[in-house]
Amino acid sequence: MIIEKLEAFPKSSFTAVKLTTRDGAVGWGECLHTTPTAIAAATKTLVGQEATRYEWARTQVHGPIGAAVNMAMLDICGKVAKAPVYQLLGGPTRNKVRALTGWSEKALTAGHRAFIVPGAYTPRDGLDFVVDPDRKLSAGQASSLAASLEKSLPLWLDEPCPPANLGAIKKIATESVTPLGWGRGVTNLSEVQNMLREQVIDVVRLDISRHGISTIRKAAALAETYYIAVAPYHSGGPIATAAALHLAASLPNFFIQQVPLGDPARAELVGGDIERVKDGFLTLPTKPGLGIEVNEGALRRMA
Amino acid sequence: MEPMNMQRRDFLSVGCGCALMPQAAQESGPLGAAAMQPVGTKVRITGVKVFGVTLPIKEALDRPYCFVKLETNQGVVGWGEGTLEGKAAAVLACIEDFKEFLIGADPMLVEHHWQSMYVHSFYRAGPVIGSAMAAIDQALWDIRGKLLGMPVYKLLGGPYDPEGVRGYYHVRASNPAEMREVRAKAKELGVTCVKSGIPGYYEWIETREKINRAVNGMRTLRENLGPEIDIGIDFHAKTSPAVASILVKEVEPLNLLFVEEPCPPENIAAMRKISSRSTTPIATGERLVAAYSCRELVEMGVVDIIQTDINHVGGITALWKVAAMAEPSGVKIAPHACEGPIGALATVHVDSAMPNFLVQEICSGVVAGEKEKIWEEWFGFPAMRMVNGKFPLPSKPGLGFDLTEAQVKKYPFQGTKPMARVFHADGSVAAW
Repeated sequence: MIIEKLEAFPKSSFTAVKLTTRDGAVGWGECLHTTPTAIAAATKTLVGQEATRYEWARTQVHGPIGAAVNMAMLDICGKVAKAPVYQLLGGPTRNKVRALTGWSEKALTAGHRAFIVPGAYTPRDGLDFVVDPDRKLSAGQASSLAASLEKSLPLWLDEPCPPANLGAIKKIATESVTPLGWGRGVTNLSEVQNMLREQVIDVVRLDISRHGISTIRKAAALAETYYIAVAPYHSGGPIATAAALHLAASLPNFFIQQVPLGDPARAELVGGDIERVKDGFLTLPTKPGLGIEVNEGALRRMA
Repeated sequence: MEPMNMQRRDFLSVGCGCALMPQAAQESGPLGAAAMQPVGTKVRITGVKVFGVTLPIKEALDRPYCFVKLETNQGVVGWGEGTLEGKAAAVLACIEDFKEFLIGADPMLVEHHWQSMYVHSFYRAGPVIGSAMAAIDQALWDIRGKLLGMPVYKLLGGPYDPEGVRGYYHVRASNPAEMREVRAKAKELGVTCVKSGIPGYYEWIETREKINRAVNGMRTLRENLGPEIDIGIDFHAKTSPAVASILVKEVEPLNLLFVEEPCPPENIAAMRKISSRSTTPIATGERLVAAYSCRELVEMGVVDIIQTDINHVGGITALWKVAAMAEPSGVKIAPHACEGPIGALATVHVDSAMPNFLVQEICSGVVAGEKEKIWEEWFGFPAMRMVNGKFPLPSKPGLGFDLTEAQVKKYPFQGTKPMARVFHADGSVAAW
């Protein structure tokens, strides 16, 4: 299980990473955009290392590529153990995964029941909503929005403003009972610790493509001691979706997984329609590793 | 493991169409098991056996080992330990209480079972439930590693340090000559860290004489061990915040690795008062159960080091979570281990996967004693003895040892014995 090679496939919306071991085992991962410098540094760090050392790697490979490396190392470990990645991580805690996606009639038809909308909305029976102003508001505006949303009972209000100043965002949490989600852009988990201590966060929204499986598991362990839920952010490709499903399976305090709307091109990339949703839920993979077969030809052809 | 490899593909890869779904309808199993069947395995827990084990050694009489052996329908077994000093019978009974959660269950659902034992116990967990859960959790991880064909530390993302896990022994020396012997022996063995205590019992406020005696004792230890060896000093929560604050400040020039449990564990603000008045690093945690109990210590920046014990905190699952939740704050982990060898060996696996690991305790001296001989007799290797200052990593799958019922039955349970009960000169209750 010694890593021999790291290959990166930069695409328009994500970078895929492939690790190969000396004995031919292959692991795939995915992250946000990365740089040739980061790829070279990760290669230098990982080649010659045992693939199980994903905790060590987490402290050595910095930036988003660390997320891809983490997924790929776990993919290899799972394949070698002939078990799904969530079986390495303590086993499944649930048998399916609640899904969240951007609002569209198409998504509703596809089986989604929980949606992201940019602002105030009209509630609909049987559907749930997360309001995501994408950091465009000031803390004061966010506070007003949170208060005005109370009667609509959204699942939560997500990242309404930059979470830079805890003193400012504390005001939002104090003035309303609308739950608040933060975390997609966090670069250090100490930021999550500070939000938890200040009681400004109800949903931990680390990004599967920026933080990876293991880092989000650490944050989840911390959040669990505050009785706080985890609902990873995801706007990347389908490899990250597979990783997110294994993560979700392993977490006792998981609530919902954001997932881009599946389509045939994405399904082709990972050898199966893992983003298919039935009545609001995604299905857990059951094959070894991440449980996907990456189609390298399709990946190379992709923009 | 070899005989199992052929079967592994069958019972672990649930997506292979091995008729798991049709089985779901017929299978009884414990409450909640049917719902998890589609994502679980075919492995089932068939037996939960508890063993009280009293070693015929004076220092071990108050802590008979509480072992559990879980048996499965695949022939794979797992061992775990929940030894709780002074409360052996209670833990053995508590493990029995959890049988209903386990018989017929899929042993691979360890986090699920942990949550169920904790949440469905309603009162969450104190030391008795936490220790019973710890035993079951370790045994489940032992099974998991054996079924997946990997040592547990690899499943957890280790090794962080391929050479092993740095450890420390206890110093049992009462005079400078003995201390210098320890120094020489430690140097010979490559041991880089030791721990000692402070003498006597302490009242709420202490006399000049008692404080000077404690400080001089620590100073003498540093002088005779030299500057190279890291030293931890265990106050064992026998000092009040008022007394501890003075001692911890007085020993700043000794550059201790840590002072442990400077006051009892229930009042975090009291411990913060001590730690905020000195630069000496503070460690605590051996009596805490579940990661929840460490939340304030980390959040308030009270301690530098957390010492939760795998046999009480709730096993591998819980010790891993303590380390995970402490990591973003830069808090280090130095797990306590003063009971039997199964928990100690299990701890080494978790340590090996912790980026924020500091050092691992074992309640043994630089020279092995009677207890360590029995451990070696059980496992066939010198369990929890360091090589070049580090505990070696096992290579076998699971927790990395084989043990038989006959071996542990050789030391039958002699009943619960209380821990030391001590009193001040005026007859009032003292802590030791």
